[in-house]
Amino acid sequence: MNEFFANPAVQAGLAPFVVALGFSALLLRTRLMGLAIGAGFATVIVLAIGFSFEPLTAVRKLVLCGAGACILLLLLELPGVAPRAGVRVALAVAAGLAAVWVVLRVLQQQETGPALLAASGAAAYIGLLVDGGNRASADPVAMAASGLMMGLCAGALALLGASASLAQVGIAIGASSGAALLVQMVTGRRAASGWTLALPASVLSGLVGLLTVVAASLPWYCLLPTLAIPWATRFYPRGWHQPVWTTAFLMALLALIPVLVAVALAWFTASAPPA
Amino acid sequence: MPRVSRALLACVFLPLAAVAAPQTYVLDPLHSFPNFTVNHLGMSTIHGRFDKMSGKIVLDQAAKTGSLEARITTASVNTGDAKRADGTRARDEHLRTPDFFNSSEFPDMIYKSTKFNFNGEALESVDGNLTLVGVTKPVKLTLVSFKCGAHPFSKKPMCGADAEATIKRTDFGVKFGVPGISDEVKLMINIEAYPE
Repeated sequence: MNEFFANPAVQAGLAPFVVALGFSALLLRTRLMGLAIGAGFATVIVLAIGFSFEPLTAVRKLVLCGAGACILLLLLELPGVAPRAGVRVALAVAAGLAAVWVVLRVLQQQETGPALLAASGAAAYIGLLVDGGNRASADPVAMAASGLMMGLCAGALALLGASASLAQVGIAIGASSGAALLVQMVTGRRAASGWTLALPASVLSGLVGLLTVVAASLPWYCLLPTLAIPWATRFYPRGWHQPVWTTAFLMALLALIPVLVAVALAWFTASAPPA
Repeated sequence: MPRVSRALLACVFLPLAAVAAPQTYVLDPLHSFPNFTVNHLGMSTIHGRFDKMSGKIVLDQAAKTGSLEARITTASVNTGDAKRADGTRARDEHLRTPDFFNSSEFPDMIYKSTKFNFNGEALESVDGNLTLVGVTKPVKLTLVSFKCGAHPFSKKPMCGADAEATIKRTDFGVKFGVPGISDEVKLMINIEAYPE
């Protein structure tokens, strides 16, 4: 049994998917389906990384940010909290500040100028990704589809950027979002979830991508296409009513386009001949 | 005591005091390297080394005391797979990530001695603490050889040593790939140092 759970594919793919599938089925009729993605994320942390916080490394800060996103989700889905512009901006700013906190120790090793530039870039990237995830669509199918692609993209980029444990986290987020999508496809009904369904996926996949740049060897510009993932689902024609599974499939295909661009960029920079 | 006698005494004892004083040696970066081996998949032994190390040794041979502080740049890890042209990241790049040495957050691995252990005139082992990825644990270095003397060509005084230790990387929170990549890592440090 231990050998089974020691398999990286089980840790990053199967186990988070199964756990998130169970949570998604349970939470389908509530506004808290985003918690299913948090549950899948917690599964990969238990199996592959562990809940230890001393010393507080960037990866461990990422775990705390995941927990923070789930707590925020609970608060934001309280009755009376509406997705007003101010709330969305505050969320994007908080995510940006969290990104700077996560990479702070790396920034402290750099000169002031490059550190400020890197901090600004990190905050802008995560802020824009989270804002995109919240703003691009109110459709829970679109949010789950973009979560699936954001997670898988972060995992693929981390793999190409040479960090296997970050890749596991990214893939787990993709698998968990995929579970949230699959439950909607199989039941044929959209989740009753609120606008926060994509929050854990966008925060965590963004941080995985960011860490792959600062702590591994991914060029920063490979992250730029990922900002388009949540918006790609908007190309699905409005008013074109199809069964949920068809809509989910097509939206996932649309969100796949920026993923392919990002992965191709990472692949071709990785395959550059040695200097 | 007459002034002449005091001067005479000083002349007699000052050279002895100079000999007995602790001597500080600086590691020669061109001849000092930490090497390591790990077992891979239970099949073979992978060798690696760090290309950059700096540090100092303070040695008082007469008092049989001393101290050692060595700083190893983890990003200088070198296992013979630094860059690939086939689209995959190299092993050395992977070793620098948070999966292993987390070099961007923790650029240095630091060893600080707490005690030099002599057996007669010979330095036998060094007790100390190793800080790796932000975690500090006691590590005992066993001296395979230790010698101080004159450089054979320049005749400058120098010291050299070969030291070994075995650590468990999971003690430092480096869990990735265990047991396929062994938990036990053997460290072998060769040092040459010259007076400051």
